[in-house]
Amino acid sequence: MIQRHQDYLIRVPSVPVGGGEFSINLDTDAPFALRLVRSRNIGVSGWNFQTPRRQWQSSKLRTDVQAQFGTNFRPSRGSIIYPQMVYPVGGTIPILIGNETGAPILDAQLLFRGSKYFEPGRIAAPTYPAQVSPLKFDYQVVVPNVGGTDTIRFNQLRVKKDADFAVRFGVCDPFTPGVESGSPFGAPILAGDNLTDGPNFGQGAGVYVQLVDEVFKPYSNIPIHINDLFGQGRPLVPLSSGAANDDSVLFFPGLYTPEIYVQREHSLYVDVYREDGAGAPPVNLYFRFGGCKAFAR
Amino acid sequence: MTPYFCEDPKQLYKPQFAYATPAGYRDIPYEVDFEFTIPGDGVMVRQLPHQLDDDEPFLLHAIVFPQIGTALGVENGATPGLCRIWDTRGNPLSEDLVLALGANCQSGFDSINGFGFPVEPAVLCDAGGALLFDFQLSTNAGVASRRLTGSAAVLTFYAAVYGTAGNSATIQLAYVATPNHALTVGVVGSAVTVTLATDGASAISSTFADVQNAINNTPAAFAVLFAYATGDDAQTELVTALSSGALAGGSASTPVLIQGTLLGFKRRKECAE
Repeated sequence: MIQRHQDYLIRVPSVPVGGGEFSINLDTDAPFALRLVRSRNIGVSGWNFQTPRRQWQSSKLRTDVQAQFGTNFRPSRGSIIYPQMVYPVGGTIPILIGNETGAPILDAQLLFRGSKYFEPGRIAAPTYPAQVSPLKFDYQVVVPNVGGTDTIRFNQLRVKKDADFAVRFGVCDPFTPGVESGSPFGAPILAGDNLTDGPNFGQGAGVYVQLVDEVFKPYSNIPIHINDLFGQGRPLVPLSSGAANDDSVLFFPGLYTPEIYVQREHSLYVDVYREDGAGAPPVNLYFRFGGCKAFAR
Repeated sequence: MTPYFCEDPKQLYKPQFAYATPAGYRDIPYEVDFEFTIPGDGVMVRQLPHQLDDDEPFLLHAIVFPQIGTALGVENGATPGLCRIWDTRGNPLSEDLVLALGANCQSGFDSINGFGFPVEPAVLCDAGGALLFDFQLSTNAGVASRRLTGSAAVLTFYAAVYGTAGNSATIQLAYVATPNHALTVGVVGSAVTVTLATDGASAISSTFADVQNAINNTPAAFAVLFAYATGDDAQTELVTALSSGALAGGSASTPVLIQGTLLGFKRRKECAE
């Protein structure tokens, strides 16, 4: 079987007080093996979902936050689902999202991360040459001047002709080095950041991204929050109020499992969608794709 | 027998224990400390060498750069920067200089990746070879700023340039006690004056976010300074008048000492029996 990295994300514009039931419809091209669930904007209100056997995965609503001494809780990088759960082609994942806040939860998100299983020959699946010399390597793709409501598609990671490239993780930050006597506004902080930082380094607040392969087949059903797909560029401290801040997690790059193998002189694309509002200052997004070059011997 | 290895290409998942030491060799844990002093002015510095021991090849497994971690952000003392490393055979380990965080290192701040950022797969460095480093650190010159603090919101004004030149910029939030006054921004030289909006009862109706957006969307004002509203109530809390005053804290850059550690193994050839 051929495995291919896949994310399914559900974004619920408003979860009413008391919670609600929702569902994700899976693609009809391949089964989906679920390996991780990550919530955003839900916090301790909790969530639940049904397994492929149509059983709820937990007896009550559960969370993916971590208890932390001295604070109420801290978000995690998601709850690992092990062993994996394989959903059928074109299946549905019923979901419960709780709401104990006393007010509607806006833009509740639940990310289901895993892998699609394809029959051999169904999709192009290049892999390593028979004999290979690996070299750790990072490619960088810069998407400049992303406005507060911009959509910039097909930003290209073009693999050089010397070697194939296995993409194993990604990191992204809106950062541009400041130069003395130059402007500190190369990459102002994104709106929504809740730390008092300097002006050159920011946090992805309302940036969503979607990886797309060379035949424009995406690796997710809809764009994913940049800090979930490309990891957390920098950890934030928990809010003093103890309120949910889904980006106050410890640093961890966005891992792609299985890795995404791109042959030399071929491409991987990143679509960028920003939702920070028209008043947000433009930023330069620096994507770093980490992995290894694979030289054929 | 060479100390170099060839991976099984079919093995897509490679934990460290997959890299077996070749027969006839022994891997001995070894750490290499290095340091460079480079300008903190934001200019790129290229090809800084660090020579390795000439007794045995070194297998590079991880890097820690405590001094250029970005975990704390600019204001809290860390110096974010871009980095590119070249192995001992002249191969760059990144296409260009990339932000050191994530790609090459993490700070060790708050025990995050205190054991170094993994180099995967490991890089075999020739005995006596030199690793080369390119750096471009964001300048540590101070940015002049001024802050207006509310009950649950903060509005910070930053100068448009790094360094002492930003200390000449001034900001004023003026209140005019007339009803239904519009929010306006005026600029004379390096003096920015924001006249706050009022409601029908002549009370201030501009929020912290309103003032931020008004300044940042006025090109003449943005050329002097930049406003940044933070806090849980930045969108709703009303600002107060602020008398005219200069931004402060703009300072010249100073050299930066970069210290790091390479973690890995020396690959020692076993003696013949």
